Formats: sequence, C-alpha cells, structure tokens
Amino acid sequence: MNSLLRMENITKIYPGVVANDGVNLEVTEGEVHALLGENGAGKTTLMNILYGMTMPDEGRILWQGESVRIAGPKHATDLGIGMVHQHFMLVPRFTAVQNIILGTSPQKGPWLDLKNVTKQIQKLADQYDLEIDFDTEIQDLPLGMRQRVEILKALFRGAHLLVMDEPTAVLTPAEVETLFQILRNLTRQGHATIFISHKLEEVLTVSDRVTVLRDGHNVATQITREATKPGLAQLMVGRPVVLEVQKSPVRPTGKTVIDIDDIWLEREHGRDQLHGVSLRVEAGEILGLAGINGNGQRALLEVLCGLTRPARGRVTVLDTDVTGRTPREVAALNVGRIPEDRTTMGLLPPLTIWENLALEAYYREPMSRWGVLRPKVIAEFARKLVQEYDVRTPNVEVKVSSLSGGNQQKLILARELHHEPQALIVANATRGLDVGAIEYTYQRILERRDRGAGVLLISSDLEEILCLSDRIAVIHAGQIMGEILAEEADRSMVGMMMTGTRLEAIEGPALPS
Amino acid sequence: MLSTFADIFLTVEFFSASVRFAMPLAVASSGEIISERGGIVNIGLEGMMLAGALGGMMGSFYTNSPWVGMLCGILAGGLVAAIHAFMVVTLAADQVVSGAALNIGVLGMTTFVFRAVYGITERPIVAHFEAWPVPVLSRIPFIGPILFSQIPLVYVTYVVVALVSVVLFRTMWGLGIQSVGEHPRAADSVGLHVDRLRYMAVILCGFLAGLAGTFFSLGQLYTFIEGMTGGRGFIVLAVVIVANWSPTRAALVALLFGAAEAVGLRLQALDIGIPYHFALAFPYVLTLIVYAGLAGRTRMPHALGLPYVKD
Amino acid sequence: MLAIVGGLLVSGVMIAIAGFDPLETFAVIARGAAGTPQSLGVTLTNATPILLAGLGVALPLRCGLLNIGGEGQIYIGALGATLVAIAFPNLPAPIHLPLSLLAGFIGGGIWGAIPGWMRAVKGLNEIITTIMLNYIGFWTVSYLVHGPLKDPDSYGYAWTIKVPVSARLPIIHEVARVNLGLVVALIVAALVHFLLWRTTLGFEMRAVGAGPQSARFAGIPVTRGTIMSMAIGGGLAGVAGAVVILGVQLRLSDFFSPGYGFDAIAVALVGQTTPVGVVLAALFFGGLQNGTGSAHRTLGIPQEIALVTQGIILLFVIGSQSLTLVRLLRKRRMVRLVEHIR
Repeated sequence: MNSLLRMENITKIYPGVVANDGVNLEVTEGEVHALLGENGAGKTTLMNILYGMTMPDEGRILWQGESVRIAGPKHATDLGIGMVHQHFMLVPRFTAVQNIILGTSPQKGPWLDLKNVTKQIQKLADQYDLEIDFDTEIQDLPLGMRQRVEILKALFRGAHLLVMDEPTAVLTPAEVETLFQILRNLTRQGHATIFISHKLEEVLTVSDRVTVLRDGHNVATQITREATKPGLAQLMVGRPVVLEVQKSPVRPTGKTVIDIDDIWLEREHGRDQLHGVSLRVEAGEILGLAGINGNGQRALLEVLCGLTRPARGRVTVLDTDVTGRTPREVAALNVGRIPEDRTTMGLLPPLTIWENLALEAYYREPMSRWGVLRPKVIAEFARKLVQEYDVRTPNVEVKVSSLSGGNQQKLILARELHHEPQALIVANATRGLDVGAIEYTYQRILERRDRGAGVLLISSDLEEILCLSDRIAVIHAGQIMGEILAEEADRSMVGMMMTGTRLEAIEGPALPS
Repeated sequence: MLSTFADIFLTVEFFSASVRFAMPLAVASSGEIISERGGIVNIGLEGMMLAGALGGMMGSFYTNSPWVGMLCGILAGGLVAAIHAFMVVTLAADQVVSGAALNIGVLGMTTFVFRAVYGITERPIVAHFEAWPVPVLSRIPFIGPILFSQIPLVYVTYVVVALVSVVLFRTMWGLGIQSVGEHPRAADSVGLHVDRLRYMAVILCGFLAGLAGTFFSLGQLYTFIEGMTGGRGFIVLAVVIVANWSPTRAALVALLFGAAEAVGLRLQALDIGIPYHFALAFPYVLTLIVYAGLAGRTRMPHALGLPYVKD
Repeated sequence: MLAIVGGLLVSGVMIAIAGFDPLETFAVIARGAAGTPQSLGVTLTNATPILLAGLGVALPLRCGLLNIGGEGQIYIGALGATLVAIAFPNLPAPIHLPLSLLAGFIGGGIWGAIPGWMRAVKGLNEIITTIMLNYIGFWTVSYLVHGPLKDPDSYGYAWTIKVPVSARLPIIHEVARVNLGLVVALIVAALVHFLLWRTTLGFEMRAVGAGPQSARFAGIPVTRGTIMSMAIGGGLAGVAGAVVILGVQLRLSDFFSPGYGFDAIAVALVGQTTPVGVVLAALFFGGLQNGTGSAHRTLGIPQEIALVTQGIILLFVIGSQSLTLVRLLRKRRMVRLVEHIR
C-alpha cells in the first residue's frame, strides 16, 4: 500500500499544555485509520494541524510523498483533505446546499444560482448514497443528516482523505450503523479515512489500523485485526483499566425523593420538548436517564431546577412541590445539582474560587448578615472545601477560569455535595473530563447514593448509564420509552429505545407467550 | 381642523420631504446591515456619517463639484470605518465601545478640522445638489413628484439599497458575509477569510454611512455644522433591528422615521399649539415601542458582536 | 496608563499638523488644568459630574450591561432635583439639599430602571433602549423648560427659575470655588465600592456579569440584579445631573450637559470599572477639558482637541485590553516557560 499521508515528529505547545509532543502518524491509500486516545490526548490538535487550522511548532507533513506546509483549511482542501469536525462546522441558518457550496466557486461569476447547484450536488449525493434534505435549514435537521451534509461538503471539495473527529458522539446506534456503511462505501471508491475516537468498540469494528495517542505522545500503531480491547485500553490510559466501577448492591428504601409527574413543555423549533414525562427516584438508588442529546433532557433539567415552568405537570423534590418555583428556592432544598456544562452553567469562570463556592449560600447567615458579605467566613469555608475535595490551587483568590477542567469539576462537586444532599441531579457531568476526574466524580456520586441519597443521572453516554445506574429509563423525543432494572438491561435494548422504540415493542416479539 | 390637517400632511410636499429625510437613514441602514450581517456592530455610524458630512462639504469646497464632494464624503466615512475594523477585527476589541469611542473622537475631530481650516467666524456655502426631476418618471401623477423629483443623492440611494439587497442575498460574496456573521468558525473552516470579509463589510458600511452624511452637507444645508447629523446614526441602529436585517425593509422603516421628522418640522414651523418637542421625540418613542413589540421575533445574526479569534 | 500616553501622543501629532507646537500646547493644558488653585478648582468641578456618571456606567458594566443612557439619566435626574428644589422653597438646607439630591437619584434611577427592566424581562438590548431614552429624556426636559417650567423673566432663554439657596451645594473652598458636590461624589464612589465588593447585592450583580446562565442556575436573582444595577447606575448619573444644577448652573436648561453621559463611558472604561479608577479617570478628563479650554483662549487651538484626545485614549484602552494582544503576549511567555521546563 502506498503512503498517502505522513505526519512526522509533530509538536504543538499551547499556553499551559504541550498538546502534541513529537507525534507520528501514517495513513496509506484506501484505509480506515483510527486515531485513538482520551479527551485531551492531542487527537484534535493533531487534526487541526493537518487541516491547517493551526501551525505546528515543530515537525513536518508529507502528502503523497511530498513535504507540504499546510497554510490553512483552503490549502488542505486543495490537497484533498476533508474534515468532518466533532462540532459540525455548519451555519445553522443556511440550508444544506448553502453550507456545501460556501467558500467554493461552483459556477463562473459572482452569482448564486441555487437551483443549478442543487442538481450538481444531488448527483454527488447519489453517487455515495447519502440521503440529505437540501432545502431545509441545518438547525432543523437531525444530527445524523447534518453529519452527512458535512461528509458531502468534504466530497464536493474533492476530498481524498476524510478526517472524522469523534463522528459517533452525537449519533444514535442506528445512525452509527449508517455511518459505518457510508465509510465502507467511501473506502470502496478509493477514499482514505482517519477515524478519531475514544470508543474502543467502534475502532475495532471500523478501522484497518489504529494509532494510539496519550498525553500528546503516540504510544503505538497496530493493525486492528491484531489488537485487543484490553490491550488498546491499556495503551490509551497508560495503566490497566478497571472498566467496571465498584458498586454495592442497591438497597431499596421505598421513599421517593424526586417525583416527576406528567411534565409537558413545548418549545420553538420543535426540539428539546417534553410530552408527558413521569419519573420517580427513590432514596438510595441511581436512576439513569439515557437518551441522545436534544430529546428533552435539557428541558427536564431546566424544569427540575426551576429555570423553566412546564406547561403542565408537577415536580416534587423531597416532598416539596417545586413546579414554578425560582431556582433559588430549589437550590435551597437539600438538593445537589451537577450541570452538564461546567463553565456556562456550573461555574462563573471570571470570578474567584471563594465566590464560586459561595454562589448558593452567600445570601444567608453566616456568609452574610443584613446584606453585607462576611469575607472571612466565606474564605474559611472555601479553604475547607478546597482542602477536602483536593482542588489544586495556591489559594482561594484564584480565578476559576485558570483552573483545569478536573479541578473545576471538583469545585462543583464540593459546592453541591458538601451539605450532604438527599437528592442529587447529575446531567452529563463527565463530558470532556479525563479518566481520573471521571472516576473521582463517579465515586462521589456513588458515595452519596450509598449514604441514602436519590440520584437522577441524566446522560447521553450509554457507558456511563450502564456503569452507574440501578434502574434505567430512556427518553426519546420528549417521551419515556421505558424503564428497566440495570441488571436486565443490555446495550442493544437501550439503544433501540434511544432511537424511539418503546420497551413494550421490544419485549413483545421476544416473549411470544 | 381636519382640513388643516389634510392641507399640511396629505400633500405632495409632505411626502416628498418624508422621502428626503428618510433616504440618509435608508442608505446608512443598508451599510449597517452589511456590517451586522458580517457580525460587526457599528455604533460608530453617527461618527462615520459626520465624517461623511464634513468630507462632502470640503470636497465640494475645493472642487466646486457636489459629485466629487460626495466621493470625498464616502471616503471619509470609509476611513473612520477602517479604524473601527482595525479595532474590532484585528484587535478583537469590544465593538460597542470602539464605536462609541469613534463617535466621541469624530465629533471632536470634525469640529477641530473644520475650525482649523475655516476658522470660527466663517461658514462657507459650497456647491451642492439641486433637485433633478427624472425625465418621464417624475411626470407620473403623485408618485412622480414624491419619488422622482428629488436631489440625485436620493436616486443614488434607491440604487444602493437595491444593490445591497442583491449582493447580500444573490451572490457568493453575500453568502460569505452572512456566514462570517452567523458562524465565523465554519466560514474559516471552509477557507473563507473571516477577517478580510469582516473588514470589507465594515468599510463598505463606512462608505454608505459617509454617503448618508453628504445628504446633510450637500443636500440640506450646503455647509458643515458641528454634530449636524444629530443622532440619526443611532436611529439607524434601531431601524436595522426593526427591519430584521433586510435592506429593503429598512428603507420602508426609514420612510416612517422620515415622515416623523417631516411632521416635527411642520409642527415647529406652523406653531399650531402642539409642542414640536413631542414630534421630535416621537421617532424615538416609536422605536422603543416597536422594538419592545418585536422582542424575540427578530433574527439577529448569530455571531453579532462577537470577535473571532483563531485557535 | 500606556493608553493615556498613547492617546496624548496621537493628539500631539494632530496638534502639530494643525500648526501648533504640541509641547507648548500640552504645557498650557497642564497649567490650565492645575496651575493655580482657581484652575484646579475648575478641574475638580468639571470632574464631579463625569465621576458620578462614570460610576453610573461602571456599575452596570460589572453586571454585564453597557449603559449608554447616561445623558438621558442626567437630564431626568437634573429635572427631579430641580423640581424638588423649586417646589419647596422654604425647607431648611440640611433637609432640602439632600432631598433634592435624592430626587436626582430617583429621577435618573427611573430612567435607568426602564432599560434594565426591558433587558431583564423582555430581553431587549440595553444599548438600543438607552440610546432611545437619551433622546426621549432630553426632549422631555426641553419641552418643560420651553413651556411649563420656563422662567417668566428669562428674557427669552429657555430655562427655569434659579433653585433656592437652601437647595444649592455650598462652596467649600472660597479660592478654588469648589462646591460640596465633589465631596458628595467621593462619598458616592466609596459607597459604590462597598456595594460591589462587600454586599450581597453587589455580589449578585458581579455574578450576573460573570455569567448570566450560571448565575441563574445557581439561584442568583438575575432579574433583580439586572434591574438594580441599571437603576442604581441611572441614579448615579441622575445625581451627576443634580450636582451640576444645584452646584454650578443653578437652573435647569436643555443645554446644560455638554455630553457628560458620553464622557462617562470613557471615564468608566479608562478607570477599569473600579470606583478608584473612575475617580482618577474623571480627574484626568476633567483636567483635560479644563486645560484645553485655556489652551483655546491663549493659543487659539480649537477646544475640541479634548474630545478627540478622549476618543483616542478610549480606543487605546480597549485596544490594549484586546484579546488578541493579550493572547499573543501570554503565549510568548508560555512558550518560553515550556522551553524552560524542558
């Protein structure tokens, strides 16, 4: 096989981190080459360098045997490198066609003749068997189709090598299957693919070879057929991984801490709605709410926290009706809330550590009296928590924006768990964290459950759901598809529910009696 | 009373004056729409219009041609816009503050330059635009005298508004401008030069603001007066929102404001008991009400006001 | 600081182009600003309203809101103060003066609370609404001083009668002719500092400014913080208007503010939105205006050079805080650091 691309000794330094440190990568013609590594291992940086989005500080790139200095995305595109970014680079208010032709000259002259161009693109889509709705704005398309738009966009620009950055992160299991089909199709027509992922299963399924990155170094390149799951996992994390979290058996208490009763919520654009959701979380258990992002989880979180008032229905937390209460009234209950987005929901990055830790209690004694803050009390409180939760910082006057993701997470855990809440709401809390921080978060959550708290775990990460939950509910399009005990759950069953099949429909044919 | 009202307001003169007052707003709105569609708020519009007014007056003063004056005004507006573009695109500075700073600076600067060149006592009257009825069209009853018996600058505005509309929505360049205002990173990823497009959008906006400014010095007063644009740049900001970032709709909204201004002037001149202050405050009250009424229903460019920094 | 030097440099070049000696001009400006007790007095008097209005911009800015409505708030504040001052001519000064100042605060406060409310409840951009309210406020005052409030013996001038002595800010230094307004402004600056850093309300405002979504999630009353910051900010600008009327102009007209509301933006930003910084920036700009006035009288240079300089300094300030520059510098340092570690 001929070498298509060689990246040699690539080094890239960002403020505070060495993102790539002497990384090598080789891709041959017509192969699917997986790039495996944890979040922060340097995969995205390496690909940004390949695509000309940033310049390497050291190293060189050989494309079809010739040394190139890729000056920008345009240059990369001209060479025949196409990129499907993890966060789609599509203008939400443009149609698929507008997005596909953006930055190209599909016709002579400055004019924009959409009809003609659409025909041209349709032909290309047919060639690769890509099903796309061309005239709808991107923001109204499902994620799987958006991804196909990205792929077609790259092909329209003559991509020979397609880089796919975490392409399955936002897809339903069925959509993942379609994607793999598309990848095989591409390979057949002579295209090479770099498949970036941190999911071992997928890498083993789809790739010909795999390169593993860790902490900005590359640790190994293997032929996928010869690789094993534990072997790759160890390469990726750098130590043997315990894939199971140690969990004590659940002790049912029968006491309801969170009761969601028939919640309805309509929204613009028709996404993230709730159509009669009911859930009950008991003390001492973890109820996992699985589902692809955008199926109402965010809306549910907002209703639970008092940010949005539901059109209908009632939410009771710790025997208090919180429907239509203010966020403060909810926060004042013995509830911990760990939101999905650390910097835009959990923390105030421009403010200091002590200010962030005081965020939910500053207005009460002892942190303030008659509307006047008591800095000494707050600082003392903050220092205690920082120590207890092992936040790495020189002092509590440090701005939160300068902390690492893991330390920011610890701050949130400290603030939300120090008062030993009886109810805990966790939403996609480990997204973007490294393995150490994820483990730490899991331990803290389990610890709360073992001490009798009821936990609602909202997550789009199926692994996380399977690994922590005692019971699993699945949400799709704002409706609960079914609830099952964790020990009875299997991956494909939950996956089917995530894509909109009801539990009854699955169990029906399986139990012909 | 009713007949007096009709005599004053339902006349060709009144509508014609409305159009005359509206056109600087319309042309400046077109500029602001280009800029905002490209993601850059331009509060400095007022300053750019003022620079255009002075540039127009001085150009005409030295060449005795209002057309050359107009070109100078356009360039003066573009020059101020170039500073804004440098501040907000290259330095990624706060767009609103940069615009506000330019307003302050240009207000001082134009007065400074005018006084340094012409002194305090003199106020030269320069060659200016006269009404030029368009052959044939101006003879259409009612419409003709209102729309086609104006100064040439008004006709230039008609063309500009139409052109901006076409360029924004029917060309690849327009698509590019819109993309950098909606999702600059996506534009960057397909190889568009975000910074370059934004520079172009802002400077084009400056050109059109400068053109708007020449209405005042070459079309209305034939000289320059300190701060003569009188806050119309700020009205334009509101016009753009109310028009939902569409140039043609902005021209219609501008007509409304032009009419309000015409009403104000007539009340002031006639002194029929209604305080003219109210008429002059009316456009602002109207804007506030319409803006409040439109809350949540307009579609602002997604990346408006946000600097784009690579990496 | 660098920004101020840069601004002066650029305006120096402009002065030279206009045919004046920049060094001599700056010397005259400096002497005019603080050369004698009298001129220093004028500087301090100039600085007082822009200090107060500057705080009125700085405080909402901490809450993430840009208050461009200082000018309207100043006019309505001045109106409130004037109304209370002339409505109760027989009150004793210790009651009358504070009451008039309070009326100024309330007037400006209402004019600030409106855009604050519109922002918090209806999501309307405060920049647009405050600009509109500037004009509405101005024309309201203009109407009143041309009509119902016009002094019958004004010889055609559109202004009110003089405010009674009991409502005036007394002169506290005879030679420099400085009135009590300066002391009021300094006390207010101290209060704003306390409010921002030591009270729960200030904490809420800063939290909203740091991240409205997180703040809301944490249960911070975002609506209250938003409205309060604009109301208090407007109130501070209103006090600025009151101080000008009660201390200097002594009667309300529709031309008493030469653009204090816009100076205030410059003052707040150059002062880095901290009360101490605002005080210093206000003194600087007050002196600049005063000094260029004297340069105009002695050298004949157009006084607007003050405005130009102010605009340029402001550009330098935001330019120097610019993300790209900061990143560039930080990155250089970081690369060196990394190399050092290796």
